[in-house]
Amino acid sequence: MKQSERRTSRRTVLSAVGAGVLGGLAGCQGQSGGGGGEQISESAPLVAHKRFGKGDTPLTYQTSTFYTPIESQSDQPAAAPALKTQHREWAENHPDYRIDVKYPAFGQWKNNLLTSAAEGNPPDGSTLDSKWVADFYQYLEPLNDYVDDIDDFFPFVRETAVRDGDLLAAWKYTGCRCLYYRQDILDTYNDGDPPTTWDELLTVGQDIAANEDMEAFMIPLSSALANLPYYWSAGGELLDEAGAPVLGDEQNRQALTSALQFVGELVDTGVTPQRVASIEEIEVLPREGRAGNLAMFVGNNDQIERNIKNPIEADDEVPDDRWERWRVAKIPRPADGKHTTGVGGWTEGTFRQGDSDGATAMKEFIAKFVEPESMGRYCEAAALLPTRESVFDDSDLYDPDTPYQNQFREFLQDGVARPARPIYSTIASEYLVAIENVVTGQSEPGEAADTMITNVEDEYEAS
Amino acid sequence: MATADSTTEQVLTRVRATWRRLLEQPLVWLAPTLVLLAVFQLYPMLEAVLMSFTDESLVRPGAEFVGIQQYARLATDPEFWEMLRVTAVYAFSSVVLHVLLGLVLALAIDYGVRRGLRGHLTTRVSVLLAWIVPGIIIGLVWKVMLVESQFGAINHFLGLVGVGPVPFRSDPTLALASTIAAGTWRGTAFSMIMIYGGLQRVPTRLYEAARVDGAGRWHRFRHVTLPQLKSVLFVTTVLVTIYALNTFDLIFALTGGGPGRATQVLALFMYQEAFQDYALGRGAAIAVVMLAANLLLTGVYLYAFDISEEV
Repeated sequence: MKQSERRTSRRTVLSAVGAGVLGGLAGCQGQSGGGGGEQISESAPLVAHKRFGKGDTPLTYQTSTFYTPIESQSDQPAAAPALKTQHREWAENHPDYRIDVKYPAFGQWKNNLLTSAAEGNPPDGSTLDSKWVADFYQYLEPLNDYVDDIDDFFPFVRETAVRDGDLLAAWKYTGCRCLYYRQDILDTYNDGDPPTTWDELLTVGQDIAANEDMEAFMIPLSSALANLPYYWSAGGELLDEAGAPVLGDEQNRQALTSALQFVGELVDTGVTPQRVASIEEIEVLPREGRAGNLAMFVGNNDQIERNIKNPIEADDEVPDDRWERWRVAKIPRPADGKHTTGVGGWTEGTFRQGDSDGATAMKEFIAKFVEPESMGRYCEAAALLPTRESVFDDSDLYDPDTPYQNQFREFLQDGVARPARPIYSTIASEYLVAIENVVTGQSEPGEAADTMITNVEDEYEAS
Repeated sequence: MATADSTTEQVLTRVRATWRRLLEQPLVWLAPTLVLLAVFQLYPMLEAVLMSFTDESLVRPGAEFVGIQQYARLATDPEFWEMLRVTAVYAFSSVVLHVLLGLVLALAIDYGVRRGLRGHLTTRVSVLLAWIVPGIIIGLVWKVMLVESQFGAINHFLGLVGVGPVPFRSDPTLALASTIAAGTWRGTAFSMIMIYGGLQRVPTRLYEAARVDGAGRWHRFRHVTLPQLKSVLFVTTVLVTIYALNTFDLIFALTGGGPGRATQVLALFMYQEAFQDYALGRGAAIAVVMLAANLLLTGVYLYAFDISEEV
């Protein structure tokens, strides 16, 4: 009898769980199925996390939670109000439309977007990393009629986002790479000046490594863009005007070998530890810096705020002004080379074809990201760098509290963007492999350069 | 009335006869499984093989038939052979360690159960926990543990005894060893469960007979346990080999194939070709090579274990 009761009880529990799961799935289905024609209550906000506007006609859009206009949902809450203002302006001007927003997981975002674009079923609009733009050229729709004063953008924007005269992506902000250094350490070892050349960095770095209980200098090996300045400043070029890789040209091969030689020397001389080959997250280097384990590193411009100033100010055990001992400078170059920095950032693009009212509404939504007012508001709030020179010039549009903005603007003058060609992704991954091979002693610089050149050329021919 | 009864009887007889005939036709019973296999296994496999003879790309519309060009490219690429070597080292080490450690653990648990010792259930559950956690999580956990500074757990403890920091992920050899260790930590549970199940099937009377004949522990293990486990060891070895050759998630999370390409196995290479370079044709060719390697090794095991009578 007891056994029978127990059996009945288990069956009941299993039935209840099964019904619950089915009910839950049905609920999810119901939620996701709420497409066109959905009635939105009058009391609902005009801009919500998953919906911008309240019109009956839906448009589809994908972005990251970094760019949600809702503070409580945002990975970048300080910037959410600026986006909310921007989206509200669009929604008020387009009362018949609403944008249904999806926030795909970052890992598969690009691949899924590429697959849906190839199948002819992309969303109407999407946020795109600037390095993805080249892969989407054939699917993106021109924005020329919706974006004013294209010549106002920095040259690297026009080189990447404009194709055959068509502006295919609205580059909404940028960032650059720079040398972060501890002023108090360099006061001791280089009269307070940051190293400007490779030789100087090697000399100062060896002094620091020998006399301080810390690493002298580290580079982020997860990012090709942070390391390409060594190649560019040694006089190297990646592609010719037709978009073909030119790494094998004698001058470029020499530049590549020099860059790899320099990185190898950093490790061989003890200035940089070999373990940089195992560091994938860019946050690791400032974290080591905050912990007092590192004197200099190459990082992104926004890290001064995000990874140095904010965490130090939030730490009760450290004086708030401790972050000020961190300063920024241009990335060291060869003695006879020029300074360069890699520039990146995120863009917006639309896949909606034609001149229908829906296409126009989406294009105006995308174009709004690069209107000077929207760009200034957003970049100021998010501590990012505008891509329009005029925004930098107008303190009414852009006047951030973020440290070192004037220096970053100066660094942008030396900015080099990733080439807007699909082969760049191969160049970037092969460059990182070449650096890792040199850093870990698996290849000599010349050998690593030749392997990289062969692999890139093979890939280009095959594609 | 009598006629109606007779008709019903005839129908029932016919139904019974049909039912009997169905029971005698295994193909009918296998049909649903075969259809599902054909749709979800054979068709994608065929598609992959066909794709490997094209230059299909995710960033270019259309695809052209290129014959064996993708395979020729692989065969002439020195880096492919290096990746094949890394894959072979990883797979061989994994198979040996998985099966050996699984056998040791299974014997230990079996011994504990037979002796009525406490803790065998906890041991089984603990080992199984590693197996049920997804590979990507295992990779991330090991990555955090193996960080090469004071922030890494293992290097922190090594530092306390004056050792290190050990370059677990930045030294090419140690990086490969780390991936093997992480894979073994995860996969040994599967071997242990399989072999433990096999041990339960060994008749106690065989051990008693061996004891009567004066066989010691080693001889009982060598001449009773191992022969009785042969078919289980075969299945375990085949499955572990397939698992090791296809390992992707754990290595992707732990080393990403680096430093350089020191831990780049074929599965990772396939992923990078297909989903980072968007060269679907090349990715498919690597997948077909991996399939061939799996089939070849299964054939070798079939021959080596000589279990044709048991299969």
